[in-house]
Amino acid sequence: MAGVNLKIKKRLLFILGTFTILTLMLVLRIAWIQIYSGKEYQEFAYNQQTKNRTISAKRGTIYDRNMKPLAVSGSVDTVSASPQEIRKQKLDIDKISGELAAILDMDKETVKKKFTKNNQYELIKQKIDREIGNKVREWKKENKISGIYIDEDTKRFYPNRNLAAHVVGFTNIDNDGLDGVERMMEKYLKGVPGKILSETDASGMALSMSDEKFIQPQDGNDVILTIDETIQYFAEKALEKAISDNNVLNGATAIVMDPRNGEILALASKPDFDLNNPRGVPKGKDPETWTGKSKEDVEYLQQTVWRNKAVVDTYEPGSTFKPVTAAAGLEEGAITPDTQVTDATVKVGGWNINCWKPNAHLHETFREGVYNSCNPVFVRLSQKLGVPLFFKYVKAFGFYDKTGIDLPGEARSIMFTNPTEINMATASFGQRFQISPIQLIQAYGAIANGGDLITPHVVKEVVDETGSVIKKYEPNVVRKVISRQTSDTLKSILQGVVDIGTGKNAKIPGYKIGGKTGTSETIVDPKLQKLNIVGKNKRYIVSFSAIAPTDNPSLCVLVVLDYPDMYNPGGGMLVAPVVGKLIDDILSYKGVEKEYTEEDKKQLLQEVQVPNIKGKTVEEAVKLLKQSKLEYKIEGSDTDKKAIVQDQTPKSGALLHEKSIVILYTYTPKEEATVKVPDVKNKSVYDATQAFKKLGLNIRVNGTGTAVSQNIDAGTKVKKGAVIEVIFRNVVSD
Amino acid sequence: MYFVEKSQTSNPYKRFDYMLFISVLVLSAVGLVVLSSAVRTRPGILKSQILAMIMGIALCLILSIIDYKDLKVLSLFIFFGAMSLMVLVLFIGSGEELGNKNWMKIAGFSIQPSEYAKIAYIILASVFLERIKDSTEKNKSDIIKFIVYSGVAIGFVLLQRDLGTALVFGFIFVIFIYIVGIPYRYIFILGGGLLLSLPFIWVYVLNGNRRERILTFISPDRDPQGAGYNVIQSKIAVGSGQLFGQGYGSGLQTQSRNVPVNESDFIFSVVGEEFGFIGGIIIILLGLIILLRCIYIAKNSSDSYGSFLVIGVTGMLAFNFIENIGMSIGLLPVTGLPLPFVSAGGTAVLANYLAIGIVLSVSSRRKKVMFST
Repeated sequence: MAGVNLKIKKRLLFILGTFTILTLMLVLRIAWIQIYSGKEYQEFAYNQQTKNRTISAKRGTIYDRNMKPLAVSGSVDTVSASPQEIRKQKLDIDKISGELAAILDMDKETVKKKFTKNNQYELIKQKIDREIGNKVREWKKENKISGIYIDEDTKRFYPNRNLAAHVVGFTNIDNDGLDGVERMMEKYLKGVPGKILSETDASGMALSMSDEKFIQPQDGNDVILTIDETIQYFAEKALEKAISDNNVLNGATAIVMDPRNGEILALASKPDFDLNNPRGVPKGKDPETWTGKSKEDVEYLQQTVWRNKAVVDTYEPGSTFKPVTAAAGLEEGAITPDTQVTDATVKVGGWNINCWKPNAHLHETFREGVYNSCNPVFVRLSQKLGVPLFFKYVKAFGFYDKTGIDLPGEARSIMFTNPTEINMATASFGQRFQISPIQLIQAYGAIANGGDLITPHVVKEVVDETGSVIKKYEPNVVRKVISRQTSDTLKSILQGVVDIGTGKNAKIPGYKIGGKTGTSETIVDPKLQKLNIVGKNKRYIVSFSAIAPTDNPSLCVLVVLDYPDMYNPGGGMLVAPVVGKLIDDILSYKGVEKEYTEEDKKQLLQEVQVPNIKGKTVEEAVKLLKQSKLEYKIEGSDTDKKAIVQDQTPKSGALLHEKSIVILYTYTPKEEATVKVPDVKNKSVYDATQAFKKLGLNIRVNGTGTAVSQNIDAGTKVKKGAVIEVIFRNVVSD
Repeated sequence: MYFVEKSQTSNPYKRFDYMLFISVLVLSAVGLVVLSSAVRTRPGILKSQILAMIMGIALCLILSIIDYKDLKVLSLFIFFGAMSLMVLVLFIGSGEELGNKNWMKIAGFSIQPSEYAKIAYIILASVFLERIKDSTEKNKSDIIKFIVYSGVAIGFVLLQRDLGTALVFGFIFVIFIYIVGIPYRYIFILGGGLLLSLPFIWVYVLNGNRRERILTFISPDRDPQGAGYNVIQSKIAVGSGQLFGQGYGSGLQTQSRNVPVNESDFIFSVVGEEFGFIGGIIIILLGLIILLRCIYIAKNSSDSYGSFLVIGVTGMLAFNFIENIGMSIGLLPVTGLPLPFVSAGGTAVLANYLAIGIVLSVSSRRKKVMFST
């Protein structure tokens, strides 16, 4: 039988149909992929390709306001490889793994594992020094290996390490900003990475057959901050000293702001960290188990060193809030500085509210009420205003809103949503609600600058590589809160607080400083217990908020210490001198002349150097001492003018206040201590000085107020004329 | 051995199927263009491909002159020759890294015996099929022989753990029994039996790598860096070609060799990326023309033997075409079958040309035209 029978033909036709249908399905599928989703795939291909080998854009520099670099990008190299390409060359993988590992200071097995992967691209090591990168280049050339790439990369360096860590922020290994300005200004700093779209051969030459597409990176823009590196340094030093002096357990923060435009000049938060190693092992953590990357470790970092307490934390402001209450009262005409008030116990909703010195001041002017920080005075004032009006001002001063500062993670205040009379009474003196430090300094800014609430900010300008300004951050006035008159009145009252009130420790003769102390008692919550922050005493948060100079304010300063572990850490006593010293440093640095009032001058005993009078006649010695405005006392039987001074106490060169005593010996004294040092504790400067003078001793006065300690214990025998340093403090609390 | 009835046609050139031959040549030429772009950095591959094609065309023409009926005489010899090579490859072969052991080097040439075994199988199976078809009564011994030899062939391939080729054999087998006229009810029974045996195949036949491939086929995203990588990268390549393609030598995926083995298994990703939808259609159309032309030749063969030979070749080519393209676009699981006349691979090129030579031989000796062509 020739040919093919009908049945076969029928079935062949069926198969023909099937093949055609299958082919049609292929076509439809291809059309779907290529025409319907082609664009998507193309983009994917491009991204995937360029993600592999990029030329990093140089991240912009972060400068302080005086163009001092705070964050810079250095050139480094990143080594990657194409395992497929390497295997194709039939090289001794074991050998080259070992050699490369040695150059890169890596584990040989790790490198070998990467080489044996079935990938087109494998990262070997990121961010190696240029020097090492060059070594790899040479090694690659010598051994004629292709498939190993050394690409230029950049790495972030922070020349000032810990300085302004929370403001500047840091990046991850891919140079993406993670915190601070690095994060907030990411879009300006980052730049656009360049791309390499083909391979090169062993000698680094582009392969002839592939046209290398090279897209130049666009470098990031530079960011100029409002921060002043020097002021930041002062602030950090001041905090560090305050923390160690007062055994502060839960960190501290200091903010310095220019009230005229909301520019933050310094913002420090402690504890802090080295920006060059943000994931380093914190104190008290075991370096063996610490990774810095596990969820637990990162949480720990976020709760401790990474935490920007100025912005992220909330706390009860305590008496530092009283100026807000005062401002409301003054603005509404509910009170004047000279209105008679009383600090007698006030009863609110069944609760008695006392002054910190119960009923001690009784009748006083409102001005004195602020000096003395009497709670009942403020409660009564708020009651006079009433709940709606009082909280209208709390709101107007921005305590219900975030300030909008250009730093990440700003906390929302914890405020009464439907305030009652009792809420208002406690709020009037800053208790039972929580705000962030940055909110408080914003409010002080409004008090200082004549009533404008201005958004605080840390970024001043963005500039391109030619230095021309791309974006400028102008002061943003949120609203007018109080009149200039109220502002001026309040500043004069606050200056009084520092001059003669509870803030006396902040006084710096020559500068007009206004300010207010604050203390609030709080609890050691489970979070702190978990961090093992548990002290011997109750947890207080003490603070001092200041304006300077009060006649033309250019500074607002707030310092908050969280949990100084002591029995009664009055806010004025602990923090005021820190703020005073800080303002002194800043204003001197800014070249603000000190203008001494008559009273200041009286207090200012100039220090003089003791002249050398040994070997001179008594007559000559007395003359010399008089020139130095020093007093003298002659010891020895020979008081003749012509007698020779055999010895003197203190020795020449020592620094003494004017009118101190220098003892002249007309005989050679035995090296024996003859005078017992008296106990001057709780004495005033005058009384202590007199007590010492009587015994022929000299005093070195440190601070004002009453004596709290002396450097040589009472009862110790010293030589006549010896100098004893005594520390005086205004011991007050509120 | 077998009685061979010589074809009567005196001048085979007159009946030479130029349409099929030219389609194959065009596809080969297009294939060379695509391949040359895929292997720009590896010119050696292109050279051996061209060499294999020249040899293939020569062999193809020689075969087309030879009367296919002579193959009947040699069929057992060819079959056992191919099978012994398959055994040999188990001992001296390579390719273990990729999950199968199916090629070996002989005198500097790498040979993949299973490629030739497919043709040997077709030649032998057709002998029995013709007898089954043409005998008027039930022909049990030939049915058994057909099944046994089919089993032997598939068995040897499975020994090499070469699932792709085993599937080709299986496909040819299924087409054979369908064309030979097995009643549809048996087809359903067979299909049902296959479905039931799937779990056993999963457990006993497939190795981890294969299982992974099939799982990945069902969901390529389950392991984008591992088993799913190839498919995802291939789809990206095909997709980014869009309508007109990125142009010769300009495919990102192709030139950076993000798609593994894009000179062979994933050659269609190069077609898709650099030559776009248009390029893909051209390849598919050429493939379809070849397949349809083969079926036409099978239909018009002067005898059943020729018809079965061509059917076998058609099945082999069809499976390769559809499976290769299908896996490149994520429509079918990855098996590692080359795209006929396009993918690099000397053995496959030679084998395919041999197969076309047989088809041409059948076509040259076909009956006088029954329908208008």
